[in-house]
Amino acid sequence: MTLPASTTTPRRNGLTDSFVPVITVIAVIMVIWYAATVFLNSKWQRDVFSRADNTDYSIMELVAGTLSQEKPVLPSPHQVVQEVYKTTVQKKITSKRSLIYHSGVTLSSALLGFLLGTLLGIVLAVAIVYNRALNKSLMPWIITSQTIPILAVAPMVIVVLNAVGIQGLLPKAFISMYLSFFPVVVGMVKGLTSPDVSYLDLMRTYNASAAQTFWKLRLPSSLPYLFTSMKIAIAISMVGAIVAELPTGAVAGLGARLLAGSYYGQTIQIWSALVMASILAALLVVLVGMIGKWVNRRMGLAQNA
Amino acid sequence: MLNEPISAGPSAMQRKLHWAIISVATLATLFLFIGLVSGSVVTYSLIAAIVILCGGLVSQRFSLSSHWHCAFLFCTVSHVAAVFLLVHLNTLGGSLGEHVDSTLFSQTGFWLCVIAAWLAAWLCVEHLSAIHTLSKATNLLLAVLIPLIFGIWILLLW
Repeated sequence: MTLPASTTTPRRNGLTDSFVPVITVIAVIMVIWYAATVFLNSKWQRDVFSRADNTDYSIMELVAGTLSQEKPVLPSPHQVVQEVYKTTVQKKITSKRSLIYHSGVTLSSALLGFLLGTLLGIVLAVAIVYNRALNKSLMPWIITSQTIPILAVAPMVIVVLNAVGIQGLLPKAFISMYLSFFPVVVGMVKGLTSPDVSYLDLMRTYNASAAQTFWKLRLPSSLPYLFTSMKIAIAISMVGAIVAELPTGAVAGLGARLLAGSYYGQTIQIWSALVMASILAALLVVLVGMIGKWVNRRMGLAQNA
Repeated sequence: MLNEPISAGPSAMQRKLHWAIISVATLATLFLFIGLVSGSVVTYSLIAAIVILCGGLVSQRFSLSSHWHCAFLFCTVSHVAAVFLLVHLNTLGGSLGEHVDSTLFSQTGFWLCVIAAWLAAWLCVEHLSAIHTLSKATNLLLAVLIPLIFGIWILLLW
């Protein structure tokens, strides 16, 4: 018996399906970005022309001028790409002007913060799930902790830790941890309580201990939630590491690069650091996603992952 | 556990906590009493330890099974003890290190008393969390009270 044509699944091209929407979105962003560059930089460019007594300029000259300013209000995408290329490929990794060097500094504190945040999140989630009092007493404070702006907390954490002799990577990692533990706690609590009551009853009929129920039912059920939370946590830990570099007067790291750029009005430098940070965060999210898919597939939790 | 039914009486964890409070408060009383005899100024800490011990013993003697009664008892006991401990710290000028007369017994007794008071506050939170009611007002009260007591005790420890 053959199925009617309308019920058959249309043949899908994975490459086209995944790349076309992404490229379309990027193209739209580029168009908007170039338009905004011309619009925002045109005032300064007109001033430049009027100071040079050049009143007879064409639109093309104006546009070309707006896209090639040294200190534009908004740098054009190709200027940012040039700067990223110049500071990554054309500079030694050990150079203080290399974005790879600065990315490495930020990445190290972000990864340490992410690791600590994930561990703390898992421990808190397990404690919350196994103790009702902790759920009711600690959970509201965990949620409240995230309503405090990180920009307000970061200098205090840096000063306090500096006073007790903790300097360097750890204070930045602590700020990353402060941001990244939250999604892990929320996700893990949801994941650990996700098993159906009938499965829990089944474990009880098998006379399973609390530890056996945890290792064989609750933890495997929570893994998809954990990896989803970790994707958020790793991105947010990058934000934490960058923010932590701002109040410390750090000389290395993407945050320091942003700060130096803002001091000297180097918008291209600022934007290149931002682009680098977002590329790094995207790569880390993809990496965590891939690890998550691999783990879930190995545990038979996501057949189509 | 979160997705499991709540028991009406005290749980095994609560009973263990109860015994832990009595044991730690007894030790604290003993240490502070020795400290007092050896000349340390530990009167307020000793009162705090005795208050906690009395609370634990009263709960044991009358076999309090209602979560409300236990929560009320341990809330009162822990907070009265906290006030005495703070007054004790105040008499030392805010720091244990500044107290020249303090001995190992009085210092250990003080910290044991702090632990006993914290355990009493935690038992109060445990009992409040175990209260199951359909009243929206009571649930709202508990939703505010439980994190509030927990937060106060984090501050007190600080």
